[in-house]
Amino acid sequence: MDKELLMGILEAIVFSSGEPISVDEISNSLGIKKENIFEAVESLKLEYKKRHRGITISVIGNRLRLTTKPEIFPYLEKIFKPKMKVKLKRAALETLAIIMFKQPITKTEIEMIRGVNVEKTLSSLIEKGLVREVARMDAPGKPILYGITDYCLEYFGLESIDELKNEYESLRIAETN
Amino acid sequence: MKTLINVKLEAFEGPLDLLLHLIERNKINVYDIPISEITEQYLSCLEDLENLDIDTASQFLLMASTLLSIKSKMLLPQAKKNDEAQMEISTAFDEDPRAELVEKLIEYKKYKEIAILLREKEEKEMLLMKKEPEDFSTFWEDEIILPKISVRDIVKIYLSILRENKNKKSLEVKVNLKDSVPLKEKIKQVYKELLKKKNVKFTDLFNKSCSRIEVIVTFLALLELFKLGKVDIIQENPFDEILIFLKLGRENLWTKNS
Repeated sequence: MDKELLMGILEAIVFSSGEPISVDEISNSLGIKKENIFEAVESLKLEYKKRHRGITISVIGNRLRLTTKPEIFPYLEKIFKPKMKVKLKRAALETLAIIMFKQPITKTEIEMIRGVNVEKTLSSLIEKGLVREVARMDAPGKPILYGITDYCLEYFGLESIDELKNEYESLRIAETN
Repeated sequence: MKTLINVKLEAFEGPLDLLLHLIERNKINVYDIPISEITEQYLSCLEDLENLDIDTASQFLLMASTLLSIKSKMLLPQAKKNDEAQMEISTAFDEDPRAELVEKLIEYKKYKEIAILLREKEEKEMLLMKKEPEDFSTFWEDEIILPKISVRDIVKIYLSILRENKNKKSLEVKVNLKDSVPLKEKIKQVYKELLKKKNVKFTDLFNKSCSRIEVIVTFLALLELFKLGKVDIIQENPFDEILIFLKLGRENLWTKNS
């Protein structure tokens, strides 16, 4: 299949899907190699970079999604007047940061790092669907091990946890120089 | 360094956060904390401790005691380095009493910074508009397509129902038993009908507008007849019509028909 046609197909798929759709699923259903899909996604990204396009495609945890561009938001805000969403508290962000870097991790381990009780924060993160129980630790009391959800990556628009790790590392290098 | 500190404890995410704040404020090298000054400043910050809940307050106090314990260890005389025999023993004590705390501070600082990074991502993400999935259900008229529902959705719906129902009194259920036919009568009725027709559909045994209790009684009557070996009941698939066949002696009309 030629790339331009594939780009069109992918555009239609992510448009119809709304929520992020797995590259594996597309690859299996259409019988197209994953690397060809990613290649087409890169071309789509370039296409959407143009000023006359208001939407963009992004990869979130091996899934594709279509959204509007952030720079268009002020205009959307004027016409749709969306309610401001509630942001996460700092305690929640710190807890998530620890879980992302250390998962799977127990509640006690998180508390050791933050130096405070995280019971409430953790349960609110679970209720929001950002964190989930992934397993039990093979230790006395079988403590619960926590990890982040796919939705969590989506919430922060992260391609993967590695993306965050790399970004943090490069920030630190920039700081020390 | 003796500047008075006026901070609100609530603004901090715990003792480590407060300590980091003091260290940054005084432009101190984390690896060489002047423990006695920092302890003094830390303690002076604890004045509005009583405004916090007991859980948080105790965490701030725990750190205060850790600081004081480090301070006292630092005051102890150091082992003499030139004494060969003492060298080995002293290495165990040589470790800086601040080391563990420093390690903790540095690790906490890392996640504090990542949290800031996450905040930026969160804010940027909020500027993106997403679209609901297309509704394809019209393409498969005969099939029931369940939308993609995650556990998260179910929890959300469940919580919202709980919230809504909190204020409402539980729905009253009225059961009117007056008009229902006694089970004995119903059994006779059904059997008579069967003798006449040999086989009937379950839904034909009562009229559409009858009460729920009548449907139940009819069903019970059927079960009773089945137990007595008078009928065969067949339902091929879930939610299909229930078919009832009259058993004549040992013969079974169903097997005869098929």
